[in-house]
Amino acid sequence: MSEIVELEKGIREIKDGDKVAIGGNLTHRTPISVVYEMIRQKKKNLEVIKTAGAFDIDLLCAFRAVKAVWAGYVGYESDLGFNAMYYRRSVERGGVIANENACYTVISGMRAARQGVPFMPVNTLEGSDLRRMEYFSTVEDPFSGGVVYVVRALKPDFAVLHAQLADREGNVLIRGSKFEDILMLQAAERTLVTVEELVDSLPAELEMAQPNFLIDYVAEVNYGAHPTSCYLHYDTDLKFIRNFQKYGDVDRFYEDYIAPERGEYISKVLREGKGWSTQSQRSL
Amino acid sequence: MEYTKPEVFISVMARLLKDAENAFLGVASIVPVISVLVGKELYNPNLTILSISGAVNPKPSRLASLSTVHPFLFENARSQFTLTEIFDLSARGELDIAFLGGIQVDRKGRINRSVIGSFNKPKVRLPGGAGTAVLMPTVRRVVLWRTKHDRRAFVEEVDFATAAGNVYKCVTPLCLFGFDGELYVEALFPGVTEENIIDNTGFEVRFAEGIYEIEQPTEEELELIREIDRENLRGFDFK
Repeated sequence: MSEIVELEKGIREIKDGDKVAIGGNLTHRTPISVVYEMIRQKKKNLEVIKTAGAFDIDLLCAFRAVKAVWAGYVGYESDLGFNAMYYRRSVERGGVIANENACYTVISGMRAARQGVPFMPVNTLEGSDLRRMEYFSTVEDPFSGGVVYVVRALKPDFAVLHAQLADREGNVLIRGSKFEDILMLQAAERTLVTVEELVDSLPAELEMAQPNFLIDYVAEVNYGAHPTSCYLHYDTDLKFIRNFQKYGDVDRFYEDYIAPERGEYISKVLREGKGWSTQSQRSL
Repeated sequence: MEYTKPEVFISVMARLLKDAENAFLGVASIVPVISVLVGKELYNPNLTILSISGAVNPKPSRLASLSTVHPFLFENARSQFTLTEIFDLSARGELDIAFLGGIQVDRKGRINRSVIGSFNKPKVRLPGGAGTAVLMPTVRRVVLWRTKHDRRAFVEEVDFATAAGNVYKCVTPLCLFGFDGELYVEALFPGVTEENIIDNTGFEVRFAEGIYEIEQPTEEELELIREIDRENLRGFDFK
């Protein structure tokens, strides 16, 4: 059964050098409060796992917390200008290793981990120069004799996610797009989920929760995905991300947004966002 | 009726869906979003629309974002089919059309979204291929789309082949390419000359024997495009 914890305590369990799978996708339902806490605790040499990352990976690269990234895509979409600037520069200067995957091979690597096998066949990487990466290979199909591409198992030491609701026993309800979150919960050695709200009992509806035996730690963190969106709660705070992109001085960004305690952060971003959260609910 | 470049582009992509079983669009794909919504409404009511959001056949009341992973793609959808399941569908040969973009596209239809320069010491690290490396070799038909047509985008040979395979068409603001192992110009956009294409393409351009000019968008198409995209997000990627 999962333990309800303060975020700070849960994140202490993540060690330098861990492989950390981060839930959500691009600027949506990403556990950014977890990312802030990892930076506060000065985590180093993390290997980040994600199909498509954006602000999360860029921020971790900005604070030199990352050794390698296992992802299909790291960048933003049109309105935020594609470039995850700190990630891009870190890779270009050799400070971060880009273990580029297809999103499907990140999934396949975690499927191997989930199923307890050392690698997973995948159809197919034919024609892609990525097939030469050391984490891909080919094997002979022992039944028909053909050649099959395989992906090495990719087992996260930790998966961190943000969801809408959990009950006090730590069952977690993810609403809207699931992305790869459920696979991450099953593949990872240990897991931590932040939720918008802890409730005595989850709504009795057809949508079932993720069972608490998969979840080690649950922390209640209101606006825990900000500045990414959280379906039914708030939209992406584009203005905040644009501000980060042109901040320049990451130490000042730390003082202004990562160092302050949670309540201060929320009132600040609500004030600066001028009604961003209530306005945005309409578009969700 | 007057029309803009993005509107012709969308009309071309929507018409490609007339016989499609299903169509997938990925990240940063607002132009394909509008195209599939128009294609389903006007030409192919049986089309199944799939996206990273995991919602099947959304009917958004407005396009709330340029992000195409955004929850607006959940609106009025009645069933879910996650990204993992979409990749599985493609892997078993049942994904019909995928709209995929390349930063670089070469004569052989290979795309590069990984690096400019060498992979290990890149001059420019690009965001990455997302799903393309496994989708291109497995989906039945790849529709490449690129909102800029110039010599930097259309090159003789890509620096790095992020993905290759099964190219069906390639749509640009100047022309519609067909594919027979190499890209060739099948049709010109209204007002575009063969010379315009040659000047803006980094490989030797082949023109189809029966080359034609693309039919202008119909009034019905234009009205629907403008109704779906009231805030003119379609123009953004063409700037």
